[in-house]
Amino acid sequence: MLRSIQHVEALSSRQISTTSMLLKNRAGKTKSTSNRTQLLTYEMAQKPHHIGVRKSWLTWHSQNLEEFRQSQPLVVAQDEVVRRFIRGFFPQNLVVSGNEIVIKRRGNVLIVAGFLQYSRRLDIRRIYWMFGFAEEFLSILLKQPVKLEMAFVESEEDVAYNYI
Amino acid sequence: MLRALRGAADLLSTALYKNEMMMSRRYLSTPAPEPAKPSSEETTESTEPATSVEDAGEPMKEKRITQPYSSEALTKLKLDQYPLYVEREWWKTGKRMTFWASWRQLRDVKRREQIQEVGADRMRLKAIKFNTILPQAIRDEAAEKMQKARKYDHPRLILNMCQFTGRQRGKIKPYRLSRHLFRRFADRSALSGVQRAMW
Repeated sequence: MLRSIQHVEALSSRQISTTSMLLKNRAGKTKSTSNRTQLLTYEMAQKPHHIGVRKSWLTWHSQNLEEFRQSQPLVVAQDEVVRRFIRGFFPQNLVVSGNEIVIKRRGNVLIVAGFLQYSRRLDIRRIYWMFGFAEEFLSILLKQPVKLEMAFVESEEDVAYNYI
Repeated sequence: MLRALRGAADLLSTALYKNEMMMSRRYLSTPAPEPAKPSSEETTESTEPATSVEDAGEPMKEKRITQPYSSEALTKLKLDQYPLYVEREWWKTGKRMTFWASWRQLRDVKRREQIQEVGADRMRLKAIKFNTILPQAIRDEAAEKMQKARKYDHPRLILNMCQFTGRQRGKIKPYRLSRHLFRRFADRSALSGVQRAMW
């Protein structure tokens, strides 16, 4: 904290690195647009300090309990693998860039829930094939049963909570 | 006293035998499976298109149907056994550029595999070395074996780094993540049960 002018002059300018941009608390902040067109889902609208209060978690498992703690890093890695696979395998159907995929673990079953959107054409046969392929691929990769419970909405506006 | 002597001698001999078995196994396992499978596949592939070309006069269409759909073909191609065998060629052992975040991480993985081989025997040799009721000759022999071990047989040289970025400082150890990634995942609600502190 800068208190006196003499002290400021004594320091060289290279050592001071305070700007108003660096001062901001900006975790979980979504910038607004001038005509209020930025879509916010409920997950995006709540701040990170509302986790556990107004919103909950995108992954649900019991591996952070005391007896299961050894497999906790593996669960974090597997969650990231599943999220990236869904994000890359359904690139045209993602809702808010696939950031809100919920992964649940019940027993040894890994359940992937969330929303996908069909904006132009709902090709049911192709979607069923892609679901089957994704489930089989992830089951072989993670060596446990994987089930997709993705719901389809028509467009991203259906999951909108607010516009800023 | 004599019972302890006999147990220590048996342990030393089993350690030697296990090392010899490990060396012979490593030598034997390397060439054996790889040339057998491609040679068998080549022989089957070479025989079948020849017969198919001889049978029919259309080579383009017939070559596609290398195997008719049947349970024998499935068992031959091993498509009914899980997990399915996928040939990984240049990325087989997880090369640094495609699998690990940094060279230090790959080096640490190699150290862990090495310690997984010899860690238990090293623990027993250490127990023999520091056992005060054994004769000094046996203790010195165990100390000499530990002295002649490989460079990275020491379990204390294992690094615990972030599993995604390979960062060595500032880790949250239960999640094996660095603090930057921990905050990113936690703020995105991607860590189950983790919420911000408020008091």
